[in-house]
Parts: sequence; C-alpha cells; structure tokens
Amino acid sequence: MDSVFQEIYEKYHKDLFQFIFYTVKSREIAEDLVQEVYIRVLKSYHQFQGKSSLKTWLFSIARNVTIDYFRKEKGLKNKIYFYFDGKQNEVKDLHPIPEEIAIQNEKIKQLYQCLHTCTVDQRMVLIARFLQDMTIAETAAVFGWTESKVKTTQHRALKAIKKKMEILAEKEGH
Amino acid sequence: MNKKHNDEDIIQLLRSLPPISDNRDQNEIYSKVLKSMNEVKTNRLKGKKKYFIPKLVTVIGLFLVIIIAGKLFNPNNINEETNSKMEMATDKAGQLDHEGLSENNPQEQFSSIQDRNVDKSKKEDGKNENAVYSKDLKEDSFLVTIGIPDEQALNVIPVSIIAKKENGKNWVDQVNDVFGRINEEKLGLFDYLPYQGNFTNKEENSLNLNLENNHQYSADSTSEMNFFTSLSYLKYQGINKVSFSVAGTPGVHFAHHGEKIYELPLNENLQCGFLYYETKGHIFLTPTPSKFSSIEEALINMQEGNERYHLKPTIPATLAYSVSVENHDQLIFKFTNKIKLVDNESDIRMIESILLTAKEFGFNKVQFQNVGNAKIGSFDLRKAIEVPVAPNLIDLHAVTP
Repeated sequence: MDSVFQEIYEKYHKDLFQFIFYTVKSREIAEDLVQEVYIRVLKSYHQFQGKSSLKTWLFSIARNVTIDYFRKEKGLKNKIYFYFDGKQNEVKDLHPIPEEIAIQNEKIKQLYQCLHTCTVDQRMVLIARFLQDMTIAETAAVFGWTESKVKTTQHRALKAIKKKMEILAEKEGH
Repeated sequence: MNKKHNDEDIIQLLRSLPPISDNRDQNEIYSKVLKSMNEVKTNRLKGKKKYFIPKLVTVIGLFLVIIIAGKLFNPNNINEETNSKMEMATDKAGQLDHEGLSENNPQEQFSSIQDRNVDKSKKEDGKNENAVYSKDLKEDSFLVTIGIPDEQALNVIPVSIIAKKENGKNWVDQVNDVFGRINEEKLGLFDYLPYQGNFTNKEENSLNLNLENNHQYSADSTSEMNFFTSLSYLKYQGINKVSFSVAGTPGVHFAHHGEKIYELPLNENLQCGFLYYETKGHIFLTPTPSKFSSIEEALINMQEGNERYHLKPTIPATLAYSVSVENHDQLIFKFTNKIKLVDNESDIRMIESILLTAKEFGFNKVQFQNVGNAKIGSFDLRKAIEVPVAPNLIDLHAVTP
C-alpha cells in the first residue's frame, strides 16, 4: 500500500470523511467524494511543497472536491429540469437521516436538518470551525479566504441556522 | 421550550453532532482508489483515440470548405467571415444563389454529399415524411411516443407508434402492451423497453410509473438522465405529469439526482431543435442535446449539427432564411432567395425538422415563403402547414419480434 495513502488515512481519514459527510449529508456520496480526495492527493502529492500544513492542503482538496460535486449536481438538475417545467419545489429532499443522528436528542436532530438552510460555503465554514476545531486562521488558509471573510461567513451561517431553529421551535410550540 | 437561541447555543449544538464514520476499511478504500485511478487512465487513452478521427475529419472538412469557398466567392467576402453565425450562414447562401449555383442546378441545392448517400435508403412506399400528423390519427387508433436511447446512450430518440384501439383494453394497458412489443434492436437502438415497471393511469393526463425494486435507472448519471428524457416524450400524447413509486411505495430515490422524486410535471415545449441520427439504415429526427431560448438559436444549431452526439444537421449550413411570427401561433420561414425544394429525404427532413422545432417553441403552423414549387411530398407549400403531433413514426409490425 502506498505510504502516502497510509499516512493520510491514519491521521486524517475520519476528519475528512466527517467534513464531507456533514456538507453533503449522504454517506454514499461522502464515500465517493473522500475517494476522489485520495485520488487527487496521490496524483499531486509530489507537488505538495509544504508551504501550507498537510492538514490545510488536504482540507482544501476536500473542499474543492465537494464544491465540484455540487456544481455537477446542479448541472444534472438543470438538465433534468430541461425536460420538466422547473417547479423545483415539487421535488422533495428526503435523504435518510443516519442512525448516528437518529438516536440523538431533538435539538441535535433539528440542527442537522437546519444545516441545509446555509449555503455550501457557510456549512463548510461551520463544520471546519466547530466540528474540526479549526482556528479562524486555519479555516482561512483552507478556503483561501481572508480571516474577515471567514468571520462574516460564520456569522451569517449561525444567523441562518438560528432563524430556522426558531421557526421550527415555534411550530412545535403551537 | 426556549425559542430564542444565541450563537453560543448553536455552536454547542454543532460541537455535539456525533462523529459519522466511514464503514469501509482502509484496504477497501485503497483498492477502490487504485481502481478509479486506473479507469481514469484507460478512459483518457480511449478518449484520445475516439476523438482523433472526428477532429481530423473536421479539420479536413474545414480545409475543403475554405478551398471551395475560395473558388466560389470573391476573396473580399471571405474576409468578412468574422460576423455572427447567423449572418455568416445568410451571407454565404446568398452568394451561392446570386453567383449561379442554384440557378444552374436548383435541384441539387439542398442535397449535400452526405444527404445523397442517405437518399439511397428512400422508403419503399415512396413517402419521405416521417412524423405523425393529426390526419394520421383516426378515431380507432391512438399514439404512443416514447424515448429509446441509442446504442451508445448518447441520445434518447423519440419514437412514435400508431396502434389500433382494442375493445376492452384501456389506453394504459395498450401502452404497456406496445412497449413490450417493440424490438429496439431492429431499429438500431438500445434494448430499453418495456420499463422495469408498469404504468397506471392516475388521473387524466397523468401517469404513475411503478418501478420494480431492482430497477437499474439509477445505475449512473447517464441512466438517470436517459430515463427522465425517455419519459419526457410522453408529453407528445398529452401526458403532463408522471408520478413514481417503487413496489407500490410513492417516491423513487435517484442517487445521482440526489433526491427522492415523487412526481415531475412534463414540459409541453422542449425548446429544442431537431437534428438527425442515423443508425443501421434508420434515420431518426432527434431533439438537440441543448435547450434554446429562441427558435432562431435552435435553427442555427440545426445548421451546425452536433458531432459529439453523432447528430447531423437537418438544415444545410449555407441556407439563407429569416423567421418571423404571425398571429402568435404561426411561424413564417422565409427563404432569402427563391428556391425549389425537391421531394427527397433531405428536403422533406429539413421541412419536418423545422415543423417539429416550431412545435417545441409553441407554434401551431409554419408558412414557408419564397419557394418555387407548390408541393413537396404531401405538403402544400402555398398554405401554412400544421406542425406534427410527434416525431419518428415507425411501423410496429416491422419491428415486432
């Protein structure tokens, strides 16, 4: 087995899978995408010059792979709506909730559902910051952004989730 | 329950999200990664072989066009080829007419070299029309139009059958029956029908497709796309909605679409042009892979063809024309220079592809102008021609296994 693969797998596989899974919210898609991350890493590892940390490099690849997936998905959806009349609201999203989430308390389940309220970038910032415990500076390096853009995106993401959670809570209250 | 959350609450909840682990082990992932990397390499090699010859043909073709154009045209005009595509087509054809080609040999104006080859396969009954028109549908018959992918699964071809109504059978029973009887291979197409499932009538103009548990329509993104495209042609028989279920449970999960789909409304107009696809002695008018915002753009695409999808032009690249609208539902297609159409496959195909395209942009009739002859095939060119009901009529008996 390739030593680069082995090293990355042992140190970062769990985190990479987690990062991608919570962004796409589908185990099958996350499995495919994490494989794609390894493919890109193995192909370009010799070009990695260590200017950023290995972790930063890997997560920036994971971010690009995930963004590419959403772009393709959008393309496919557009093609499908070519044949239909574009009423996207008639197509319902029913990704199964994974077992690990299903056994959690209501609040966590609600939060999981609300993650989709955010844009893909906002969601990835939240995951990087609070699931992967990356600092603002690390997140900025992964995303290739300024620190202030990370802060603004994080703020907007939290605001969007808060709003959605309040709406859900109100519905439950009545 | 406290309805107000602050940022810190949300952050705490985010931190409490459980770890989700990959169920595969290291070796499994590594072997999949290696396999994908090898596949990518092989595909790239294949890709190079596949595209080299078409590219070479294109280059040679362009080279010949430049040489021929150089002889026919005033060199000054060639320098003006930086204009838009529409202007380019219009100008060139205009010059062709004015400079004597059409005057000397009007019969050949529309028969390109490739079209002449195609004309050999002229049908035995001598009829060159291929679409279904309202006059073809009698009271005791009904239309079934369905999409069948070609052998490379690049295009989904709409194929129409007129079947006789049978007593005691409802429309859906007969549709299911027709699907079961088509032999796609005899048509040079992919063995696709019947669907791995069954249609039932839900309400008027709406069908439910109940798929089998192990259906393969979600095997990859091409299968999904082709499946949706195939169903979209049900609109030709007035269906405006298809709902889905699997083994009786509503909704089908399409992996590459990423979502569960319950029902999809069908577009009445596809806003596409029509090119032609040739396979094993059959020619089918096929919707362009792209959708266009106007009929003008669709018509330009019909002069260009689509090499990648093996679709050939239905309108000669050099033809000059203009289009306009009359009474909202009638398209005026005016040939810039007066021409004489020929009752052969290529000219009839051009007329039918324009009629079908007009239909996909919501027109009911097309009036052709500046044509020297009164009739071509069964079309009376002096009057506005009604758009077809559906493309590619085939004789079910000829393709029944």
